[in-house]
Amino acid sequence: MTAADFSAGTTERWDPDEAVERLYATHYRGLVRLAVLLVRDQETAEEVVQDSFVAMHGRWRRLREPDKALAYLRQAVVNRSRSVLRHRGVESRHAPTLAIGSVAPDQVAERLRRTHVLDALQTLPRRQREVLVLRYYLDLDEASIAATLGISRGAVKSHASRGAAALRPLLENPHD
Amino acid sequence: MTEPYDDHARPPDELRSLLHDAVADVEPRPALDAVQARTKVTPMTSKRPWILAAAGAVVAVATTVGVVVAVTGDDPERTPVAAGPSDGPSDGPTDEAGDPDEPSPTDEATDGTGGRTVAVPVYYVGDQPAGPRLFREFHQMPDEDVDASQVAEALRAAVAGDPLDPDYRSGWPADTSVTGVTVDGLTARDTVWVDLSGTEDLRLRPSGMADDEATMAVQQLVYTAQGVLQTRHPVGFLVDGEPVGELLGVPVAPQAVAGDPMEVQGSVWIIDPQDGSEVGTTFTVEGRGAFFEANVSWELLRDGEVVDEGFTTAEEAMTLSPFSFEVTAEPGDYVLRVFEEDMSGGAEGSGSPEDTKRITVVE
Repeated sequence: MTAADFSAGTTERWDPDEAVERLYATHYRGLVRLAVLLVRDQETAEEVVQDSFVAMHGRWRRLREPDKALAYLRQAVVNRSRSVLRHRGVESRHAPTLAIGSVAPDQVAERLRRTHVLDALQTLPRRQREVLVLRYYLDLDEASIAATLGISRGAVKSHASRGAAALRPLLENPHD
Repeated sequence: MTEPYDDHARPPDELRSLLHDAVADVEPRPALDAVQARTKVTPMTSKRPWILAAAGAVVAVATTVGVVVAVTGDDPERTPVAAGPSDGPSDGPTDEAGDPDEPSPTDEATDGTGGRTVAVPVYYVGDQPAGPRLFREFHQMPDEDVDASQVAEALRAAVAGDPLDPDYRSGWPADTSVTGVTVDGLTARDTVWVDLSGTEDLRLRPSGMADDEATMAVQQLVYTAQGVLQTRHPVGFLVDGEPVGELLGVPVAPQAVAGDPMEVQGSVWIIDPQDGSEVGTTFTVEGRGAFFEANVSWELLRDGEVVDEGFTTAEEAMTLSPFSFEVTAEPGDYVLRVFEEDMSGGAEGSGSPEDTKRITVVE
C-alpha cells in the first residue's frame, strides 16, 4: 500500500464498505487459505471468511485501522472455524480426501502430499492446530498468537511444541 | 504475512513450507459480491450511506418511518439487523478485566454463536444536592456485531431503569421504549438517530417533571449512545418514527449534544466496585469526582455504623478527576460511601455530594 492510497485522507475516512473492499482485495485469499488449514474443507472455509468480513463491516467503526481490522478478521476466522468444527461433529471431522481423479498424473503426488498435511492437521487437538497454523502459516509472533487466541504466551509455547512433535512423523516422511 | 520470523525458537522451515504448500492451490471463488450483498443497507429516504441499522425487531425497523432500512441478503440470521436480545448472557467469558472504554478485537470477537458479552456503559440519573445528575454503570450485555444494535441495547437498559445501584433511576416515563437506532456515519459529525415510543406523547413534559429532570433524561440517552460508540456523535430523536424538535419539553432539534460534564455528571462517582459487588478483604476503590481542594472522604458502614473511614485526594481539584484508595475489611456486607466534606460550612445548605455502593467482602 503506498501513500497514494491514502490521498483521500486517513484510513479513518474509509467507510465500512470501502474497508471491506480493500481488505478483501488484499487478504481474502490468504484468509481462506488460513481457514482451510483450520477446517479442511474449502467451501466451509470460504463461508467462514465471508462471515468474518460481514462481522468486520459491522465493527469497522471501532476498528478504524486496517491493521486492527486484519487482526480482527484473523481472530474471527479462527473463532468461527472452531465453531464450525464444533457443529460439524465427530462423524465428518475426518473430511473426505480431495478428489484426485481429474488431476493430471504428475500432480497426483503433489495433491496427495497436500491432502496428507491437511488431514494430519485435523488429527491434532484444536489448540495445537490453531497455534501451529498461526505460527507457521501466518508467521505471527508469540504475543500475537496469544492475543488472537486469548491464551497465555506460555500456553502458546507448549501447544506449539506439542503440535510440532505430533506433526514430526509427517515432516520426516511426508509421502507416506 | 511475509515478515521474517524473528522468534528465538525459530521454527523448522519444513513445517512452514509444508503448511504453505498444503494450501498453495487453494483459489477461493470470488466472493466480494456475496459479502457486499450481506453488508449493504438500502436507504429509502437518503442517499447517505446508512451503514448500520438496528431495532428491537425487524418489524420495528419497518415501522420506523424516515429511517426505514432494507437489508438485502438471503440469510436473515446473518444480516446486520439485530433481531433483539435472542442470545442472553451465557456461560461465555465476560472479560470484566478488559478496559470497556477501549474495545479491542481481543475482547470482542465472537465465535459466531453469540455467547459473548461485553461491558457496556449505561448512564442513569441519581440525586445530588445540586439536583439530578448522571452516573455511569457498566452492564454486561450480549456482544452485538453491529454498533447500532449495541447502542440500542444500552439505551434500552438506560430507559428501562434497572440500574445495579438502587440510588439511581431512569429519567424516563414508564412504558417508554427504544424502537430503533440508526448510526448514519463514522465521524463525530454524523448523527445517531434514536427512535422512541411511549404511551404518552414523549415530546411533551409530563406534568410534575422538573426541568432538570427532563434535561437529565435526554442527556442519559446522549451520554449512553456516545459512551457505547466512544465518539461524540450528536443524537437525533424520533418519536414513533417522526423527527421531533422537543423531547419531554427539552429542545433536541436538530440534534442533541452532550452537556458539560461538570453540569451533567455526578460530582462524586464510585466507578469500581459497582453496587452489589463481591470484593476481597483488601480492595481498591476507584472513582472520579470534582472536589473542593481535591479532598475525597470515604466511610465504610456496617449496619449503619461507620466501621472505617479515611480520605484521599483526587488528582485535581474543582474538576472531574480520578481518585482511588484502598480499603481493608473483614468479610461481611457493607455500604461504601464516598463524599465531599461540606467545606462551605453548610452555606449551600444542601448537604454534600456523595455516592454509595453496597458491597460484600469475602475471603
